[in-house]
Amino acid sequence: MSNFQFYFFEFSAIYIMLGWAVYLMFRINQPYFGSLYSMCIGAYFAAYATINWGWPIWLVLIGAVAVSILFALIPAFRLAKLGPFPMVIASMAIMFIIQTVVKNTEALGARYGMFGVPHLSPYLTLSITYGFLIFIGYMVYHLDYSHVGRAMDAIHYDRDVATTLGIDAGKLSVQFQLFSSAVGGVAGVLYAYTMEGVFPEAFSMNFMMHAITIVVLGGMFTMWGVIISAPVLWSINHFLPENMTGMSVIVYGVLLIVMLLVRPSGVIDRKIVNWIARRKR
Amino acid sequence: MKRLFYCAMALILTAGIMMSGCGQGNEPEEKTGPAEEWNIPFLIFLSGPLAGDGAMHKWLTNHVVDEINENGGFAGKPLKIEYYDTAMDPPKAAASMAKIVDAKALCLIGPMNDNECKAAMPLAAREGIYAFSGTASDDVWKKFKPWVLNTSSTVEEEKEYNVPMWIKQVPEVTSIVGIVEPMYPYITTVWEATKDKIGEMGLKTTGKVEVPSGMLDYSIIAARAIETGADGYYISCSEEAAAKVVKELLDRKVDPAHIYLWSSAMGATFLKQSEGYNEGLYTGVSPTYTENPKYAEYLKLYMDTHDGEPLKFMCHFNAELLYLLKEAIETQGITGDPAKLKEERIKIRDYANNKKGFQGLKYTYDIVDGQAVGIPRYLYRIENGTTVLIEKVVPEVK
Repeated sequence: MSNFQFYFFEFSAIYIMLGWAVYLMFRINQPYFGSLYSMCIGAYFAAYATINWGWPIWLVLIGAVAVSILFALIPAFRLAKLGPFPMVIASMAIMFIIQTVVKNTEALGARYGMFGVPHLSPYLTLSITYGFLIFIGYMVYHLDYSHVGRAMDAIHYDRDVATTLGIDAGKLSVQFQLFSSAVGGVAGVLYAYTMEGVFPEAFSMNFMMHAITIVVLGGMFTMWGVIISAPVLWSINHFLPENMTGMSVIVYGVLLIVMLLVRPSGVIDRKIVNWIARRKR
Repeated sequence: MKRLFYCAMALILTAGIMMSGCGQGNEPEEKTGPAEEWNIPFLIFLSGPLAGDGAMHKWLTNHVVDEINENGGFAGKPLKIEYYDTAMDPPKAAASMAKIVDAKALCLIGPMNDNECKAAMPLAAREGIYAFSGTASDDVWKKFKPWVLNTSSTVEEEKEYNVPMWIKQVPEVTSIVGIVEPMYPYITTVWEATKDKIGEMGLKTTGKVEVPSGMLDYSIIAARAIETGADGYYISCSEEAAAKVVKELLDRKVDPAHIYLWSSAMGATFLKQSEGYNEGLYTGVSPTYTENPKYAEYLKLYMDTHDGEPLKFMCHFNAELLYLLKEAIETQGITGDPAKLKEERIKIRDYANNKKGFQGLKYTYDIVDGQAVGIPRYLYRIENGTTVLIEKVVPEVK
């Protein structure tokens, strides 16, 4: 496998994971980006634990998930009560706080970050990544196509009505925040191993915009769109002809605008999923 | 639905396995023997927030390549630059470096910015491919040496000369405040070191006012800086922000001579946006001043074809390294033969990492262990909308 193929598949999977983490919260009308700061926490945890303690990857993954969930738990109950707009502001604010803390903590390499995360063979890294991707996909699928999924729909259309139907929107939000953060933590660990290090600028606003675009373009109402949009968006830059690489951001923007105007529900919406499911039967 | 899920997952896995296999079967047959042409990759930001700067670097690099080819290329064979875009995005920078490694490049020009370096250099260092990066910053150089060259100033030289040269002109300044936009880590590192130097000079630092990116109103920044009680203002933010901050400071009756603009804050954009209120400011860089006639020609050509806009002062850093690579190839007997790739990569690295008296596009400097030293330091004053040289110092190489 070439080095480029490794990066292509690895980041495609990481972006799909992140897309799913963001998607779940979109489904309950709470655009929560905790998965992104959890990714930062996971990546730093991985770097610190491998460089300073020499932990193996499996232990790092467990630790990163635990730490990400713990961090997410602190504001989770308050965030669960917020509407979409305050939720965006609050999670962005937390992201900035975490970034600032990281940038100013000498033990975490401060502004320069941490390097020296052990290099694993591409096949091992991809096996772990795709193993997690399938596991996370399985979890999201089961949430989506169960009574929880129907509760998610009810909350998405009207939170108050959903509450009168006996759905505990707050509890569901907390659970999803924790799940999204755990996914973010895993993605962070994989990111640190792939890049062999981590630095604060890696988790900037651009990163958040990228995650949102993946979900908006792929489809906000099904988990399937992310599987297409994440690799497509990630690869635009690499497969454009050399003299057009400067246009990648424009291509990106145009795609997003066209999609919002023509198919606001994304490339893969429920109609398409149902149509495919009917044909399969 | 369940079947749909399993089908989708099977599809992901199959696609993954198929794609991972494509590289093995389809690899072009490896050529042997000396290279017919030198294909040198350049890892650069051609899209993203600094795409405009990237285009300037590309313009100058292409002209240097043409000049080299007109003079026989590298060892009589033509030079071709292949641009790899990073979009200033760390994963893209790493993936582009992966493409360079896959192409079995002899070495590369770039990465340019320290974030790109942090993303791309772990792979380059592991694979043993040398990066001619003019602008990596000395902190990145420390982390990834001997596989990266940095020809921009060290923090030590920035600290030793910037503020002392300015203060020599305005000895009445007794306390300085830093107005800093942490666009990249090097800016903050240089400010921290400068603070130490200010202390060593017996002056006072009254603090740091951080400039958030993309502010609409900069009056608060100026007011906070003045409130610290400082009588000297060291500005290291983007040119656009600096123009606004300077205007606000001057509106509050700050003496323009008491304002020093660090390199990130100074350039054609600053001069244009601060038109009418930049008279008498001090700075360490000039977008138009050069002592090298060759660079003056390039500068003139660029200005003639770009509505009078000069190249950014940093543009020469990477393009001029092609001359160093030419020297390395021609003096070390590099052939470009894939069979000797590893050995020739090391020869190039060792040559470039220790070079005395390298003639760059703007000035001459030494390279010690992959870090440029003895880069001339300048102090300019802005007069009539342009920079006028006040003092030049060539640091002594220890």
